[in-house]
Amino acid sequence: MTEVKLQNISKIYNGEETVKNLNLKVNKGEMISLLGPSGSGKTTTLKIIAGLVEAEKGRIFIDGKSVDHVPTQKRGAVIVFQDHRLFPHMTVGGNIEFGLRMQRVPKEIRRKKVQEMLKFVGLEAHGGKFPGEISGGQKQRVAIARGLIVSPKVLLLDEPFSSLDQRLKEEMRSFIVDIQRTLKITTILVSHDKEDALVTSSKIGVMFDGELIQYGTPEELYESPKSLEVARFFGEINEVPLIKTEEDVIHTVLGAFRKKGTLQGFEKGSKLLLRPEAVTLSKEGNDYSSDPGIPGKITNRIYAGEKTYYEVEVEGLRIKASVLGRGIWQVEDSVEIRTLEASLIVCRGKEADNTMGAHNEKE
Amino acid sequence: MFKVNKRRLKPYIYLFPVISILLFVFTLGLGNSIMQSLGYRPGIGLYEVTLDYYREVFRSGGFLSGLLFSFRVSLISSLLAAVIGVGIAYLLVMQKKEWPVLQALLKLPIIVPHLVAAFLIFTIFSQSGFLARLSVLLGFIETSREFPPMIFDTRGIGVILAYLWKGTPFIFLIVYQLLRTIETEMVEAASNLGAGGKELFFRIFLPLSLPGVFSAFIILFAFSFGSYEIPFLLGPTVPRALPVLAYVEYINPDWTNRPYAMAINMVLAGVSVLLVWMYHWAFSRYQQFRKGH
Repeated sequence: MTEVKLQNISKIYNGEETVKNLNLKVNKGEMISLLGPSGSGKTTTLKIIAGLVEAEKGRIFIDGKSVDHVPTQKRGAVIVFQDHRLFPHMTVGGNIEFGLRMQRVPKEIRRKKVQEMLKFVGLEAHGGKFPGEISGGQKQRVAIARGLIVSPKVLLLDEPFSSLDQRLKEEMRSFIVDIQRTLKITTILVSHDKEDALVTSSKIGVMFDGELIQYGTPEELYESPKSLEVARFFGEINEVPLIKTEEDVIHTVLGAFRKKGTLQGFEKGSKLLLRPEAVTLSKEGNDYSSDPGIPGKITNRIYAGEKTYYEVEVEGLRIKASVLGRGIWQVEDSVEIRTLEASLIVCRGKEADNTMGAHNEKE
Repeated sequence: MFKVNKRRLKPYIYLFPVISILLFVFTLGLGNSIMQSLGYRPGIGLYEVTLDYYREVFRSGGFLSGLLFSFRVSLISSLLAAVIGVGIAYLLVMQKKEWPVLQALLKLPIIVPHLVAAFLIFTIFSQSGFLARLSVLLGFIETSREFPPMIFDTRGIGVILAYLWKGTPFIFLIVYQLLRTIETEMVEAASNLGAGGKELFFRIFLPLSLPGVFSAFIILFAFSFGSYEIPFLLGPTVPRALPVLAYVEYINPDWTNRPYAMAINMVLAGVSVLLVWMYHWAFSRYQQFRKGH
């Protein structure tokens, strides 16, 4: 198992800094994701680790040893490309065998390993076919098998699910997670889709404009985003307007909260955020709870199968809420909104603009 | 009544004026040549359709040595052009810089007419040419007559050189564009899996560009096999290249010789058809590769 460390990595393309002073540590056998919109520098970072792109500044360590001057051929960081890049003139078996040939592995052993690998990725019947003759999902498997067969120290996956339909995507995600858990290869996945990262990785690094904004566990990123950008990237969020803050109480449109628990870190410049699923709706006048509840009116309802999304008008503001399954509320219904202090997110940092009456921004 | 698919007919209708002229000229010319090669030419009193002219042509020593000469010269010049063209393209594609001036210079011979190419080769490689004089000047030989004959020689060196000078840039042009797309897509993948320069060339570049190289090779071969001006100007009198032989028979004042010229032309046309078929075969294989991406 291998540890990967990036120290102050910077890359300039056409005068523009596409990766900015990036620091990252991936523990032995860990699978992490670099998440961000396109153009955020994540694929460049992956290529820098693979040795395909040279960084202007910074150092890369694999297992504690600097690999800055080790060419891609000898680095042991194998990349699986978004567009597969299978060699069209070689069969599936030939593609998988390629890395072993380059390592001058004897023919007999090569053949045996290719057969094992074909079986491992469930493509035993397709070894003799050409890349042009297999499906997109199968090509993806071949690309992964071609990378795995050389027993890389680090496996780098560049948007491995982007070209797949939803069903295949889910299948491939669990396939990759299974492989990673079985082989315990240190793996870095790059994606623009938060679900890819949440489902597969033990840690996620969010990148914007070449900068690694936050690196942590999926829970940390979802529940304690460092910036509004990160919070928004992980899905819909209500930005809770503040009325006033006192020494130990925060007054908001959704009620007053004591600065304890998750709100302890609230300070000047912070912003309160709330995920739609943390907003509960109940019938107006419901007095089961000691919490008084804020009256509101349903203005929009979107049924999405697993969930139903609502927009509730509260004192001229639209608060987003979501409930599991088919929600009972309809448009024009009067409801009461409640929220738990524990589910409020305190967002600090440069983006946390804390002006009175800030409105929710639509994604 | 059968239903006519108007949409499918449309392009043919639009192109009819051009196609009709092309087909008219082509079929008339070809038909006329075939008839003449079979000895049918009523204008000069030849009415009997016969294969005798073919038989005689095949039996004559001039034809066989000419065929061999044409084949050898075309094969050697096209093969060398392919090897050198691919080599230059590979070397250039592996450079980080594009070298636009060098590329323009490399492509220059493509636009130079074959007649000019023949003249250049003559002035450089003939026994009274630049190299011969330079050799005398440098004291390698005493008189320019000692300079090895390359023009009008039976080995056809001058002809090969002229075709090589014209053909190499053509191969380079095709292969360079092809290799560039391979470069961006495949080199990263292959080198990341451990491939070095030699392996990249032999396992990735060469096999991927081979169908394109083959197509270009066939075009070069077909052209040099069928064209007459270079071997006419730089080639030997014996053996004569096949197109030169056909030309000489054609301009013979004795019109009854015309069927021999046409029979030779038909052989040239037959070889061309075979080459076109090979070209299509290579091209379809190349398309299959592209699809596999």
